[in-house]
Amino acid sequence: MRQFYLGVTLALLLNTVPCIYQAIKGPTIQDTLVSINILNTKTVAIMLLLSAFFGQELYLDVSFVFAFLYLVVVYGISRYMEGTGGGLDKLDQ
Amino acid sequence: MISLINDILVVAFASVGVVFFLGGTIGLLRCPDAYSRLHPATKCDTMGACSVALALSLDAGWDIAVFKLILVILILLLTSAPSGHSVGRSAFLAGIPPAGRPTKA
Repeated sequence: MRQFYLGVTLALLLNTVPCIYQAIKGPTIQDTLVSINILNTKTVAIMLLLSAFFGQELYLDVSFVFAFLYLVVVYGISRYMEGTGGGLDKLDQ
Repeated sequence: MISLINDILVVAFASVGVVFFLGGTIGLLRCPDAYSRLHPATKCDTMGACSVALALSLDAGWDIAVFKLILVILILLLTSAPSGHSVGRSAFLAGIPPAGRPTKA
């Protein structure tokens, strides 16, 4: 079962590469926010899998912190970006 | 026998989670604008990470880890919908036009 967890972790790590590409490419800030949303969810899942792989319960608390910080980051940046253009000048090109 | 059924359930839930994460990544690459990208992103939260956590809680046995994993599932279910709504609201209030319609000149 431990090898299976390692395989799932590697599959999720391969999935992060297109998300980083989209976060860099995304024309508006909201696209970057959505990409970071998926990246943070993947970080939570990878931390859970690594805690089962290494048999350490400390990583579960790390995934807690990631799950809470993700809400704070997304709320903060999206509320800040409401008034500004949000990268509309890049969208017209 | 019971442990075999448990292992099959663990592999099934974790595989469902990986499939949903893969679908979320493909949808993120293929959707045209931020509004439609929110759809695969929140699917990743609810089905992908929660399935992985459910599989790990089935494998953990009676332990304090099960409580923590169920707490992670509850946190993800409670926070994914408000954050997705907040991103969509900020995109709408910032005036980003939806794809497929003529943009304001």
